[in-house]
Amino acid sequence: MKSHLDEQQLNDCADDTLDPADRGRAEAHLAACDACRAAIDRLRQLRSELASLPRSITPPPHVLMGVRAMALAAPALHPERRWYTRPPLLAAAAVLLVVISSATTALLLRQPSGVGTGATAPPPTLSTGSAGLVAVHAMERSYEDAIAEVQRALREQQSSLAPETLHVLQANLDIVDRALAEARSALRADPGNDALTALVRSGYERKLDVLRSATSHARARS
Amino acid sequence: MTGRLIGTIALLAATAQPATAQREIAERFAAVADGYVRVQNIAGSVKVIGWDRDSIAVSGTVYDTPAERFEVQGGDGAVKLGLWDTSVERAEPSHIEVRLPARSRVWIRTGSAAIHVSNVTGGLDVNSVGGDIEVRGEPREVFVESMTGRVTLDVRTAVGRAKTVTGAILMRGAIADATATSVSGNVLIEDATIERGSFESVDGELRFVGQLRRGSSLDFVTHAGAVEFLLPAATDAEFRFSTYEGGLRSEFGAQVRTTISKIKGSEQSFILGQGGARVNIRTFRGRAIVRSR
Repeated sequence: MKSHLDEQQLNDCADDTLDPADRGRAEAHLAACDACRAAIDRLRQLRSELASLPRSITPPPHVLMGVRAMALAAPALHPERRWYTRPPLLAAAAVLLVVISSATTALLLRQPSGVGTGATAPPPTLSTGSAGLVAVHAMERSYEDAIAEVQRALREQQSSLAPETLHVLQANLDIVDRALAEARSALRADPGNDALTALVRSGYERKLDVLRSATSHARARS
Repeated sequence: MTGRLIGTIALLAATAQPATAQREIAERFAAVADGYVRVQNIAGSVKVIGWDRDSIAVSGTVYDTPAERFEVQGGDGAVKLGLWDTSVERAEPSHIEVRLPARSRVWIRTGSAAIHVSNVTGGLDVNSVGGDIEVRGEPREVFVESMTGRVTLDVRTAVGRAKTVTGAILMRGAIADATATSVSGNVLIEDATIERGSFESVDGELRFVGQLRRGSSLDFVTHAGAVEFLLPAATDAEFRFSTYEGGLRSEFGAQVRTTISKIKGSEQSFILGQGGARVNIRTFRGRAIVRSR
């Protein structure tokens, strides 16, 4: 990502609510952009100061998330539909995303060097077109893309981490990858299982967490 | 004579700071009550203590390096202090103690240095690669992360977040909104009052010991770790447990309603007492046990 993060992305980064797909790109950009990192620091400081306001007027996070979820789930609340949400473009984008993501995954799998690369098998091929399957597939692709972005950023700076840290990092990424592989395999056999979907999502979140944390520490020491 | 004196002083000055020099530090300066303080140290320890004075006092033993001397920068509302010379192969341990206005907002970063924070009532953001982190007191909110170090939060706060890769996490006190996540570290919530909680691991154990607050909502998610509750006999809570291959055992004798899914996995639920707290447990193969103490 060459251009700076826009206001929305900065705020989402500061609030840690960036979509997984965007998060990886944002992380990669932040690794090289002091201005955007400083902007996020300011926003987090602002958030910290906001947290000191009386709690009676501060909705709890789950309410905000609920409102956000409802807003996202209600197209009628978005009269000004963005161009990229139009169905034909969305379909084309989905196809493009799958192609790019597959290529990225294949590329990563061919690169043995670097922590955390290639350990996650590509998402399973889905044989039916039900909404649930498509949603799971889209979720997996989003996370895979985000992970690939962070892995790229980490590869560039991981030499600044101590060998023992890298060893621990790789061992734990392996743990996450094994767990993810099991959960995804089970989900493939039972695609309507919400609990398995949540476990897969949790596994991806842990993997992103670990990679982001390592990237942050590597950046600090480089 | 004068020339010899100047020469001697110059020689002393030159030899006083060898390439890597250990020295004692003791500095004190005025600070605003709710300023921003950044502390960093690669190895050794960092101890931060909030006090009821409008000044910052720094003391300890530090190692200067050819590339960096320990120093205090900034002033008024923002102060930065510490050592972060990443050019050295292995940093000598520096031990830094900082006393600062309790309401300060504090950011701490270390490599392997252990971190102790107490009595800070402003916001806390604490990060370490491998150092143990211990926070006590009543910070406004606290975000703590160590990859391999242990994390202990014994606090009263609105928001508490703890994250590790392998390090164990211990939470105590009263945390309105608590989150603890780890890959292989164990998570223990002990005698903590929590309104909303989310605790996750991949194969680390998740353990809750204490009383479930009425109206609280706690989520426990793990792939293969065990989930254990040790609760008072008079507990009011509703449990929901879903697993793919794991199992549930309750020593409370409550009637467990089990639903087996069409393909595999099961969902079980039971109510202790009058209900009141909601506990959701989700595992892939991790076993859950609910014990009475």
